[in-house]
Amino acid sequence: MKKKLIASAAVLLAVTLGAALAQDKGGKGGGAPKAPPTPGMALSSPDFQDGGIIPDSFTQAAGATSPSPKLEWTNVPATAASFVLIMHDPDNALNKTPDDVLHWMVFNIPGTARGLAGGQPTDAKLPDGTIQAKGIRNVGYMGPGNAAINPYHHYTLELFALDSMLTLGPDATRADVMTAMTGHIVGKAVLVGRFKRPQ
Amino acid sequence: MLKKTIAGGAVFLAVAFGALLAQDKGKGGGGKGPAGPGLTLTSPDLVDGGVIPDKFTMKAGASVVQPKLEWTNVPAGVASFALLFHDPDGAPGKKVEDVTHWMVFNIPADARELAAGVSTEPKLADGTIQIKGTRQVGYMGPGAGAAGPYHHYTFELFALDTKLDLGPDAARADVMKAMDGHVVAKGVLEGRFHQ
Repeated sequence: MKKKLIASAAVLLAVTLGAALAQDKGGKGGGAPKAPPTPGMALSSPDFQDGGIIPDSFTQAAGATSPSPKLEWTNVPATAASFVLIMHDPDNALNKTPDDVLHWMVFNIPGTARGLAGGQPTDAKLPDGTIQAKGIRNVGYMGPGNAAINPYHHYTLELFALDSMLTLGPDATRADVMTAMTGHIVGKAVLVGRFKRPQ
Repeated sequence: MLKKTIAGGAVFLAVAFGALLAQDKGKGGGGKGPAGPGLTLTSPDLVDGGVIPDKFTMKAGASVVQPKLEWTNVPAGVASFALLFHDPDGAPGKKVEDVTHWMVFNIPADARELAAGVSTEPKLADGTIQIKGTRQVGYMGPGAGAAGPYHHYTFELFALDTKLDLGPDAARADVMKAMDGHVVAKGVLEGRFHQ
């Protein structure tokens, strides 16, 4: 009995120590104290490589209304009730503000979703309850449009897993969504694709 | 005389139209960017969109150094630069602000690089100020865990038309607010990493 108790205590200690180490080396944000357990949520696309170049067919090189790439996500936290997706181009300063260019913003994606099909519609409200707000130009996806003369821009897709739905409509601004998400983000994943137009 | 005026008008029209087109095709399709190549941020130490070598990460332990950064295509009218290095893959405290690995401002306007190495001083000799990030003053190397996906460590260089009237105790949000209305150009470099 006593032997069993000691063994249990040893196991508990090892598990606790392991968890502490995992968090320190871990995960999100390199030792930030509030790191969620690993592995973190992962966002990917079969249409382009993370850190690679976005093919022309998903950009304004294919016209003003190019289709959105297919997106997939895994390692979803158990408490996810909805997802928010924001695609932005940080290589710009809009009207001299620290705000960059918003290409696409989608929220209230159902908590059961594990991806977005390619070529998303440009309606403000989708049948499954998903809401698409207006980016800098239009409702729905706006493909990368960076000029050939520029360095590659870094089109950044950020997926937020939330423990709630957002009580906002399609007229919500990016700032509204950011404010509404605060305190509810239980997971985050990022995918970056680079682009500039062909000569 | 009339012929010259017409020719002049045509040239003006062509230039104006050209500028309009350049803007439209320009930065991000937003139409607000300057024509001509934008501010370009690079590093001889890492490939844009590639994986950051271990020596610039927490894997190097106490001997970690910051990568050398260089920039070109600086617009006229720049009074200082600010640099933010952050990891958007985390949401500390369930909040929107991600992990701040390094933030520097009042980099002199004539600077075109930040040397490799490391400094944990809040005030540098040339007037540059380093604030405390999520953990410390100065560069904090990438540290994403092996179990998770690659994180996207993003260097954002802001060219400003002013210096910032802030000290080393400023928070990231203070710096963002102070930059509002003064960002004349931006350049981004992104490296990925996990342990």
